[in-house]
Amino acid sequence: MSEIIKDLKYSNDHEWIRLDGDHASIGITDHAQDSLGEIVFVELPKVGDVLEKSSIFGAVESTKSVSDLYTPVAGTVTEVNASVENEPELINSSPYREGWMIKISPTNVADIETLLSSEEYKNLIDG
Amino acid sequence: MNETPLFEIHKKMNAKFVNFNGWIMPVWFKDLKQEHLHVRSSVGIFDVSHMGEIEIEGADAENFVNFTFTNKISDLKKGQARYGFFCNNEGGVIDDVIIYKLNDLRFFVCVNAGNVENVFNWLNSNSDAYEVAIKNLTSFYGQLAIQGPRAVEEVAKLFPNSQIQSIKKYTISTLNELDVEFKSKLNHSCPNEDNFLIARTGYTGEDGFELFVPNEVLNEIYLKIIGGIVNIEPCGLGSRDTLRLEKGFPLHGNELSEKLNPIVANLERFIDFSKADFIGKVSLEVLSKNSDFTLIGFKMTDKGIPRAGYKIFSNNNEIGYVTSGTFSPSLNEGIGLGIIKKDFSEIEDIEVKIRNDKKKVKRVSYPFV
Repeated sequence: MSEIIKDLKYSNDHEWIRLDGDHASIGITDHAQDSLGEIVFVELPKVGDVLEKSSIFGAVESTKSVSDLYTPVAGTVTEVNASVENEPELINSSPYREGWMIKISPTNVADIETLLSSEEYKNLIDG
Repeated sequence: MNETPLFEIHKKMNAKFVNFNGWIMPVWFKDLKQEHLHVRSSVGIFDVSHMGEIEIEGADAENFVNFTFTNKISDLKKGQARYGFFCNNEGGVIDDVIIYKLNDLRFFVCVNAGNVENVFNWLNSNSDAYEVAIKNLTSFYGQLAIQGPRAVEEVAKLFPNSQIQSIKKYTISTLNELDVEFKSKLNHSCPNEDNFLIARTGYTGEDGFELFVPNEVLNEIYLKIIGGIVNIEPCGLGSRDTLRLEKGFPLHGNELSEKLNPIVANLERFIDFSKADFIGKVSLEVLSKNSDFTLIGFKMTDKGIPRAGYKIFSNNNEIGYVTSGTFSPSLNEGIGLGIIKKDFSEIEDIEVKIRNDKKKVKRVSYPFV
């Protein structure tokens, strides 16, 4: 069973987003990392990059395949997790914590509310 | 979607599945890298029942194979196998295959999953002048590949009466124990009674065997093998692909196709130009003297993983594209094969465009390991 964290919001593209004050951290879900298999490479944007909603902000790669990462809500990148760039397997072992990918300053914090709740995301992956 | 007889067993083993040429196949079980490394150091088993089997039988079987196959066939002894191509008149590859000589009148061909119908129809359309029967046995045979440095000794322990060790590389034999145990259970015997074949061939670069056995009893045989060999790892198509790529083996659809000939893919050694005639010979002779493209191997210098389809550049000139690429589990770095313009084949430093950026790669010879 894939872990789903209750207080997070989710995208249809299997990213999670956690709002913390003015900043929001973004990563991929346990379900997503499990489907990909062992992640061996991650490509992330730079601090200061402006991301449009639904635009591609990076990519995760397992040995077998490449998956694009989609921006769940618009914003400006404020921090990039260098640890996952050096140790991409953190995304497998701790997708919701150490495996976070970027932090953004959302253009409109209220956009986050329009994303899926944990219940809705559970229905998506069980469906 | 086709599934092999092992689908339900693999589902219970929590395999991840992938669609491959119309077949739903395990891509990995627990972990691709672990499966890959286990085959390199120990022994793994692959369900490759999606592969096709075609038999050519009759008084003209050898002449017919000689005319349709690029490689030499006349020197094969009973049980010997040879790799080569079925090419079209332009020299493009309809399929790359291993042909096993079962006896003077019968040749057994192992065909790629996506090409079975094509090959079968093409062979038939060229057979009018020959006294041969061409049989598609794909639905009869399942196929298991047991690969790795421990494969020979372990299979020998499992089948002590079959003199496994005497099956030389690139030869095929019958597996007597399976015949004794399972023949009476078959509702449909193979038309030629060769129900249980074992060949010392593979696609991983490691020693090992490929078993051609009836789909009807594939479940029981599979369980017998994974239950009988200690620490054998069930492996998916993911590691099959990374294992073959590390060894620089071509994959039809990537390095070879009806549009890509064996000369470009540096596989001329599997063409016997001394034969009087074979389909595609004239075109291949021209290509061998004058081909504009060539296959190269490369490793990433910058961070990144090359993938099939990415473009290859030299000083802003687009010179080719990646045919296969992956993150090598043995080397822990990105490796790839690509087809480039021959004019650039001496240039060491080239770039591969990954998403929006060009990344440095360096030319290396393959096999990579």
